Amino acid sequence: MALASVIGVGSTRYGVLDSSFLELVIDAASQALRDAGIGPEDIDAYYLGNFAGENFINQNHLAAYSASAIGLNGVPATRVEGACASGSLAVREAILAIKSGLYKRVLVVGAEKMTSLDTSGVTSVLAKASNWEAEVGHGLTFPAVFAFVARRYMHQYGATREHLAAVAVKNHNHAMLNPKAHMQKKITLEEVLSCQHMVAEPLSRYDCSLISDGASAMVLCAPELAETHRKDVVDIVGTGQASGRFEIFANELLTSFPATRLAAKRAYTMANIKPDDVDVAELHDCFTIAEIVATEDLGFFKPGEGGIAALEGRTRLGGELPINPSGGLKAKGHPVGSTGVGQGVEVVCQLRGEAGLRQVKNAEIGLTHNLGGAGGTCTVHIYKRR
Amino acid sequence: MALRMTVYQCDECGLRQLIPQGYCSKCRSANSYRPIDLEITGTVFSFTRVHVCEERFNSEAPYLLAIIECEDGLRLMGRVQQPVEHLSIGSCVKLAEFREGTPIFRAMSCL
Repeated sequence: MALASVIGVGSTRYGVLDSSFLELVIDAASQALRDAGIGPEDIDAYYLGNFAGENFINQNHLAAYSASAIGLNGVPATRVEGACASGSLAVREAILAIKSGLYKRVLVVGAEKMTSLDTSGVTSVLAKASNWEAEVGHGLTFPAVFAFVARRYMHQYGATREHLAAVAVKNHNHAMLNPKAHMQKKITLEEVLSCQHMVAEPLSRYDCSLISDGASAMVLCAPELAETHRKDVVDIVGTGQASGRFEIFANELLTSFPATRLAAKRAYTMANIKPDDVDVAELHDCFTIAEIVATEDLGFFKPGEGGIAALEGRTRLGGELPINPSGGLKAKGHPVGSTGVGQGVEVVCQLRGEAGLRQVKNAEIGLTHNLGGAGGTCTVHIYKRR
Repeated sequence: MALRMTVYQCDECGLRQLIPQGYCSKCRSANSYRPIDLEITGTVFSFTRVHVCEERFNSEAPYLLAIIECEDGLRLMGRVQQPVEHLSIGSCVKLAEFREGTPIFRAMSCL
């Protein structure tokens, strides 16, 4: 049963952009409204996913800040924050609000302007999604969080840097087919494996997602109204959210994120589907190892087999389950607050058959997975073509 | 006297944690955590050498960070001071000092 329906999507290009935060929001939101064939006067509520505007652009109170710029003066405007999962949390709030019956049409935007800071500055801001006192003060960075995971995964399953590299190569290849992706550069397995620029061993630059600016937007509406707006409706049929232990050192196995498993179970149950039923997925590949672990936690592959599946090409376009056809966080880019909304935009394009050169054939069911921090927050959404 | 560190232990189930919880993470007992001072020894559960870091740590990079697993479920994170080629998952370490609040571990022979 549909919880809410998507009637409009839009996104800026992701990358190092000259546009301001407001310009990004206006661009994405107006595209989504135009795609839905409605105007701001038709919107009942506005949710904004944003992680760290106060650090990146010295601005707080961002939902109200941006609402009037997109013609929503007077509309309830709420900012949602859950580290890198901020965007999908905003989507979920919109779903819940529609499902409650309170609103008929809701605008969701995810946006982040990151490139105002240099790499070191961005590293400091992102680190705030970990425990400042017990981790960050000792020198923890986000690449280090996932380096811990990668090292343990390799130890546990005998995986190698080749398995990680396969994810980077695949997602770069996919991004080449996405005109809105940050990175348009083909890379080879040899290039990745010979990279000496380590970030946090065993992760090199090629294992890390990108520091990007960008915004994405969706218009959600009550399922019974969707067909008055458009014929090719995509329904959201499952939503799962879970919290997990906040500190990476408290993660029991380190090769799995319990919040992902819980969120996925809830979403699959609600949608009444199995992992096998998913045709296309946009997963949280903030680091190559994160995609591998997510494919296992979401039930696509058995523990220890996600890396092998990536290396065998089973997760690339044309494979049995295309993962991150957009290029993912790795190559499409990762404007933090925008990411979770952007994943939904990509899945909707795939289910409508509008994904161009990166189209997954006959995709009917799509999944998004958005992970916040070191697994403290996870959201899984399931989309279905009506 | 050997260096000690304050951690927290659940009165009900004995679970030890670095950060006290209002409800025990294992048995869910309420307000059951008590501070205890321990000498910290454990094994490396995972580790990394950090090259790209916050500016304030630049002069120390690259540095070794590890997740240390100790008795009764205690886990914590700290720096490790020893050559990286001698460090692996399962290496035995002990808390040697605090530097500006950061626990520094050194290798020891496994018991």
